[in-house]
Amino acid sequence: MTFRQFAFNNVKRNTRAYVSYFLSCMFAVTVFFMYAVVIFHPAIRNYEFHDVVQSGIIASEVMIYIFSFLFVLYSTGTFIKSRKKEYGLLTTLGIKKSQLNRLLILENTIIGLTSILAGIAVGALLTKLFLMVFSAVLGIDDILPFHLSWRAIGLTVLLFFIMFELNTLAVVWTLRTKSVMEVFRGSLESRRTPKFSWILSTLALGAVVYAYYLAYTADLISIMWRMFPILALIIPGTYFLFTQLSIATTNLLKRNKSLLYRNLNLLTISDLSYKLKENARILFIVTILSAVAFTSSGVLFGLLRGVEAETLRFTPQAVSLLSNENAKLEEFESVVTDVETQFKEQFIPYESTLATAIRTETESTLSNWDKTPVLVYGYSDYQQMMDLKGVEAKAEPQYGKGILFVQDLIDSYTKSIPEVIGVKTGQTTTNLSLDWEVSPLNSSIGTNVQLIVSDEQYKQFKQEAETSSIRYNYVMDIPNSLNYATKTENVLNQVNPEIAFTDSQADFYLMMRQSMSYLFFFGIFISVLFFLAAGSILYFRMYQGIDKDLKHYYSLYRIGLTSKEMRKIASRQVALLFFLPFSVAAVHAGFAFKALQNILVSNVLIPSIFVYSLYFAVHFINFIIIRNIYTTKLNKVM
Amino acid sequence: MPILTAANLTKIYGSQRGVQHEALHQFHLAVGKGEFIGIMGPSGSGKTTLLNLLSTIDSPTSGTVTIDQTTVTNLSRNKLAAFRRKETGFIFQDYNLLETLTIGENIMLPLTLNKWKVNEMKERLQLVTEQLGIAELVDKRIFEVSGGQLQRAAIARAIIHEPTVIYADEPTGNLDSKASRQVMEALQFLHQEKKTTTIMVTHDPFAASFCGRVIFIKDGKLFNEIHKGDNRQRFFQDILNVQSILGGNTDDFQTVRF
Repeated sequence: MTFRQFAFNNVKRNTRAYVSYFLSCMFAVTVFFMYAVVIFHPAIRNYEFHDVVQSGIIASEVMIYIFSFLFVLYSTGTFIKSRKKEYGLLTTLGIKKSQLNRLLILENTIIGLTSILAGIAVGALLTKLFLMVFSAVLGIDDILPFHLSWRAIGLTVLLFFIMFELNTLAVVWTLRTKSVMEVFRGSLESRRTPKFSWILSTLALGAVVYAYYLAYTADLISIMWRMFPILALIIPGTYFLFTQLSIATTNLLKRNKSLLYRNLNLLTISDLSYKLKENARILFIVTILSAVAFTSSGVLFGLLRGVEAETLRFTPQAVSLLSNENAKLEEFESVVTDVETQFKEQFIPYESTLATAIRTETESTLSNWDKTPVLVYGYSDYQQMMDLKGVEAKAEPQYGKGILFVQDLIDSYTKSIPEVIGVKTGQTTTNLSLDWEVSPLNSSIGTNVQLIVSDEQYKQFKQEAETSSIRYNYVMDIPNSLNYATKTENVLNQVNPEIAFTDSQADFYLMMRQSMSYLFFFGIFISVLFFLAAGSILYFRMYQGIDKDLKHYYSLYRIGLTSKEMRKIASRQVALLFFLPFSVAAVHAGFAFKALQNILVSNVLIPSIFVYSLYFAVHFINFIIIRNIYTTKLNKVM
Repeated sequence: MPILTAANLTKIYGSQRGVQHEALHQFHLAVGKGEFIGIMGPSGSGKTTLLNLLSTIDSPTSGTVTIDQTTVTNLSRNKLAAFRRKETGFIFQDYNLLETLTIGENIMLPLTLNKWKVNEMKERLQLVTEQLGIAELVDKRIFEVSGGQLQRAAIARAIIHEPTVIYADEPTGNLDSKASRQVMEALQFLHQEKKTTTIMVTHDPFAASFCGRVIFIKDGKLFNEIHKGDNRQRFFQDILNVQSILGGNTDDFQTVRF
């Protein structure tokens, strides 16, 4: 047996322990590699979205790399440290520190290289599929051809090889082998009673609850500044939840003697407090990783699913053409005729109406509302536009009053709306008292707010106003307009922007869908990676602790615990390790979804339930497998 | 009427095809009620195998073990566990106490498994720990007390549910001479006062001298059997004599001779 064979055998015979770590590394390599294939794909340079996609992919690559780096560092560290006893034995046999280092580096290089090669092989197999999905998501008509560039392979191999080596070196350098004496005396660290502090427990609970409150009541504007405080509360809060509050809870349970001394409870509960203490850090890491995975995939999926609803929210009218300042009525009418003709040719069903408006400015003592450009509509025109959509119009405002239409989400949160506003028409300024609501009309460049006044008032304004301030607004309604999105957009693209400003659901929808698809596409793989890493850490933990646990169970077996009871205890404990962080992460993510729901109109409940169930299914399968490995091992000792 | 009978016990280790080793060969043993019996023999003689078979932890290749009219060798694994928990008590060289529990909880463990009421459990705990002189230790943790105290706690756990038989596997193996004496005196007390049936495997002639009868095993067969008269010192000398005839691996024996 040469030195190299020894290292190789060490890896080979530890396969069971390494397998999940290996798979996670492999998955990271695979994802990284597939993105790299897209970056270096020769055909992609021909597309206009090239730059956006390129930077999105590079950002994803950087994230995957950083995350893999940390994950590998952590895994290698715990793995190497869990074998300290073995190194102690080797030391007694006279291995030099330099030889031991060489052994460890060799072992990790073997694992690293294998997972790089396996990752690239799997990546190569999946590349075609990935390119198909990619093409579909980005709406490329012909699927990008299969192409593995040497540069993608080279980049992946190089970066990941460097990563494995750096991590191994870092771990090896910080490794302190036990002295020979320590190895032979065995571990003297006794399991002291887990301690906790009431203050920290309460603070942790308080922090988490307050973070939940912040998320629950957040809206678009406040989430911006609340984001950081929420994270700053929830992360340490979760940590102390596991290190302190969990122990506090089990200690409370222990005080109830009639509960504690009932059948298996004595064993389960007292083991629990140790398990919780020993695994607090793992539980914390797994919770945070899972919460990030849930939240990001839920949010991404929610956004993707919500595109339609958000389109209807921000573009209430299917199509609107607003004449430009210098456009003549005839020019505008010919544009409208063109559009109508093309719609008919393309068999797009529509109804339409033409409204006139006065573009002017406001006057107000509130600086936010002073000199704000506004479109003033007469009540009849407004009513027509509402009839077209089949929406009930508001009652006509009295003379001297007006209804202000503001942008959803943006104006309604940022600016307080004045009760009285001045409208400048020509030389005169008329003060109107205001009602306001979220605009049912499309917005247009420069004028986000609209004002509805009574017909009588409007007539007066029109007389006072300059001719150049008159605008024509041609509005269309298309039943199921999003079904004709591409066609509609093509027609509207031909409109001369000098004459009319177009705004349509089609445009908004296509743009939103594309950007959400990008986001989804780049985000989802990273989320899955996080989740897999969390699972792998759990597996690791279980594997590390198994010898100690088996000893514990053998003790129980000798005093007459049935194997059924033992399996029950073991299942409960493995289940706890699995589902406690899952549940906490699910609750964390739940509040994040609530914050998202406050911003969106589309329902995020269904996408979030979908995300949960998907992750739960994977997690559950994972649990069953690991529990079975565990109980099989248990049965062997008996 | 013996309370425990072993008939024709044979244990063969190793697979059908591989190298086989017969650890125990057609062994017979009858233990009377209230008897305190010691099993001695050199390393590899089969004494631990015998104890494991008698205590139902291991199952024999052939032969039967009957405890209190139940033929335990016919029971399923789960029934065996239930039987063990009710009818037997164990004392191990390594104490086999759970470090996550306090001393008191360890002692009560068999009772909680048998679903006793909390108050009865506490009364019984009080009683047993007083008898063994460890009443003040019940709230202590495993790492806070000495080896002799741990072993007495293990004895308390073994007897708290009043089992039919107590098995002790090298109970003094990890203890110094003072602690050994305390532990053996505790076992002797239980034997004399409570008439518990005890089967003990040991290397230590001093520990064995507390028994009423000592059997010697060599190569899986009974070698000799001696009974205690009225003098423990004399019995101790007898045990040493048999050991020196027994030979075997001399390193098992104490080099000091009286």
